[in-house]
Amino acid sequence: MNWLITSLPLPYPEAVVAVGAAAIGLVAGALGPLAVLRGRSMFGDAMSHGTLPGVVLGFVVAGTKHLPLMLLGAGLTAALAALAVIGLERCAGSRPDVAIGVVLSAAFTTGIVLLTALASSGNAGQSGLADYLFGQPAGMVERDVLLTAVVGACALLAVTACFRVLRTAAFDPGFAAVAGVPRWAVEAASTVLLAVAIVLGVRTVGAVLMVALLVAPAVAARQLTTRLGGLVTLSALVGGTSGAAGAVLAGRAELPAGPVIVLLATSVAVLAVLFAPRRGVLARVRRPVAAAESRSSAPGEAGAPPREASGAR
Amino acid sequence: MTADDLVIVLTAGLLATACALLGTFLVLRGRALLPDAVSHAVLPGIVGVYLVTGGRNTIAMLLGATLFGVVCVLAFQALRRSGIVASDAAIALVFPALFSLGVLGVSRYTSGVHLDLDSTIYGELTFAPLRTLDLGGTQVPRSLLITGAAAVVVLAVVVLFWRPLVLTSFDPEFAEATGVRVRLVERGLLVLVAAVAVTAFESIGAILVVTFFVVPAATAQLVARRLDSMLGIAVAVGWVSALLGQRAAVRLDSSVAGSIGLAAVGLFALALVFAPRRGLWRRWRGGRRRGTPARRPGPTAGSATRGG
Amino acid sequence: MSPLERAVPNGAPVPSPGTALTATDVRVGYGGGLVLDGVTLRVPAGRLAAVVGPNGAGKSTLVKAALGLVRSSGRFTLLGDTLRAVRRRVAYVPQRDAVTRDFPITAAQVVEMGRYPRRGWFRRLTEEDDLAVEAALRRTGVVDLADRPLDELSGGQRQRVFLARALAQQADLLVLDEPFAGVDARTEAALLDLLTELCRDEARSVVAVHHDLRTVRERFDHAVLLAGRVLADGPPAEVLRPELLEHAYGLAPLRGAVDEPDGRVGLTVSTASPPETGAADRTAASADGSPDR
Repeated sequence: MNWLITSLPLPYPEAVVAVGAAAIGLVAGALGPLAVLRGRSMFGDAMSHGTLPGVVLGFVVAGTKHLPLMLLGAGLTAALAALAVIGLERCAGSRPDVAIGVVLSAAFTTGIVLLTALASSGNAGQSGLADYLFGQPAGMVERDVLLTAVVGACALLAVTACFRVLRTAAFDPGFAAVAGVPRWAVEAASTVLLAVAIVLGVRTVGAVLMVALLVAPAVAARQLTTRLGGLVTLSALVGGTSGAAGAVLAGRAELPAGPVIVLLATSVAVLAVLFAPRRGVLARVRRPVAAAESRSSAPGEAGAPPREASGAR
Repeated sequence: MTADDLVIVLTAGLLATACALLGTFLVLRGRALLPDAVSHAVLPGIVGVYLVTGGRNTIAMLLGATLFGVVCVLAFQALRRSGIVASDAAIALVFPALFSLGVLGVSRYTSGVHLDLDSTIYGELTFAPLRTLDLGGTQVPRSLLITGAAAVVVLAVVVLFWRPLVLTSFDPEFAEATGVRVRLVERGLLVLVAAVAVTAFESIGAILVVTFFVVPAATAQLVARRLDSMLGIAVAVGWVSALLGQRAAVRLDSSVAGSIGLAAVGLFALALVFAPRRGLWRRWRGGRRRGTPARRPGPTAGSATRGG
Repeated sequence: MSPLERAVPNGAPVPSPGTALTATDVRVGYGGGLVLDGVTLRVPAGRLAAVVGPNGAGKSTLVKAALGLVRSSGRFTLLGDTLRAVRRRVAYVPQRDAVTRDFPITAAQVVEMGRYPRRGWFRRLTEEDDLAVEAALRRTGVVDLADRPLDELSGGQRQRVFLARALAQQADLLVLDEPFAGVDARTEAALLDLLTELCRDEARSVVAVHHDLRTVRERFDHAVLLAGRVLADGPPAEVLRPELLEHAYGLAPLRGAVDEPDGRVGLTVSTASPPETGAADRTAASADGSPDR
């Protein structure tokens, strides 16, 4: 890790931040398709808001800003938020939008109340907790980067190992279920992986905006490739680049990092949506006749996972 | 409870009234996340108006930011209808980006001058009693007037347009067939939601807007058997949470808006367990005996759409 | 949005007295394909008429286009006049899943909605309205359930309530979209009796999208066989002839964009799927990006 940081043509603190944010973006980009291709992007939003109470609770338990414990707390409450959304839908018959709205509210209000109650209790060392809302990479040290890299690498390894299962599941959950992969296992696995990506990013990007770092790279990559392997790789690259560039830029301009990273990644996605060679808006406008004549051109280009569009209905 | 506390409770209660009335219809129409989208889109509008006018002129802010939010949501909906971005990914892409723009604007250009990141998140309900307007010789808190006006306008709209609202929420095809312009009702609702979201921003910040809209309505949905009672319960939940939340915030010295939201979530949890017909307790105890009407268990967890 | 969807304005109505529904060269396109390709038909007034056809034939689309819910080109008349002129005299019972589930509303309140078009948006409902609501509930056999929330009713009871709403409109033409989907046999028979009574005794007209050819043959006065265009239009005995049915259900010349080399696709009819599943009808259409409603 050290050689990578020192080899960058940046001052040491910036280099640490750049490498750390790149790792975060890489993991988020690689895992984002798990949410996007399955029409679960807003589910990711509830989870990313769900990290906030965990961060604060982790702080309360540790009594100090102990990063691993705070991230553990974030992971637990994010997973709890995911469970709550599913529970509301399955057991109480809530509609998905209501379930997400309520869970998002529950998570966020809990986080805010804890945060403000703690702030007013005058606990020293808590002053930086509000950074977890919009992200603050400054103050990241090499050990944090190492933690991110190790946890992220585990998640990526899991994705690679289960790639075939996940591909089948993302493409056709029914088929996967019949083929012997229980749906709940796939759900659980992808939820846990998403939680990992969100938790790693919450400090740098912030709980409010973390979902965009999952979604934007995946949307950009989706425009450029139809193969899942290429999509995950490309998405990881977009995420990593936006993460590193955004964190450094934000540091120099003294802005919160989350919005900068999110806007960078979103710009890439917007450019891809507009100018992608085959699926881009421009490409479609240029061949209106073909588009009008053939229905197949709209949602399902050959070989593309058709699940992407299904969430909209 | 001091007079200042009372002003805070009243302001929050009036705001919750406006939000809960609209939220009830949104929840029933499957548009529960629309306020979330709108409140995200409204923030850059608020910053923009602030930059242009150099102040927080209420009317300019209300008109400008509402317009901006509505345009964003409409443009997004048109884009989605065109099939270019046909997924909830687009929602999770566009609205956080707009919000990012707003957050950057807030922290770059306006920090320290009545508009900063803290107020974006926590709102300024605590300061509600401090900013007053001279109204015929008496000093009246400004926010009380604004939220009161919002509540009155929303209530009037709901009463006046009751039938189109109910028809289009319950059975849009039937409504259209009987000559109701469903699209128009939808647009009107969107404008109203955006205006209330702008109003709410000052008091409760941008992120908690969705809480005020959705949680009381979702609570009421668990309890109510009829639409009129659902609206009444939603408003009541709003007021009770305003009172409970304010008291809790005083005890804990925490964010007032956050505490009110949390109180509403607590009431939702109570209703979820103990609601007479739909509560989990009732389901577990009576579900087996009495074969409750089947609901689709929602296989598409989390595939919700906001803004659609 | 295809050019066809930008509506060609309906021309002047062809005076067609004694008809419930006519269509002249109606086309409806979704996402580049045509769902209805030159539909022309004439349903006489005072009949119990069925629109039949395989999945994806455009049955629902046809009645929705007639009611202005879907943009179309060509011309419709209802009760011999334009939709605008007769809207108050037409009642519509949408497909059941068009309705918001879990809506907190009682059966009587649903039926009350049938009185809204008559009373406008602001005028209070009168005693006459209350009587009409009660009469409608009584006729469909659910007057005992008037104050029950809708989500506590069974599928058949709900369908009775929706039919009661149409009755409360006191309309001359009832348009029903798959009224018997997910309804038990007893309810179906009862509702069919009621519809027959409306046509025979009260000179009202009924147009129902339906898929069960047997009941159409036995109970309906008129049938329109649809498969993107009208294959036959007349008395059921003449329309439901084996060779026509085979043409509609069996040939399936329009199998969907994937296998269609020239890409010119109007329909997504699948030979494999039986015509009895109304829900699959919609799934087939929406699976390739064309909302069926």
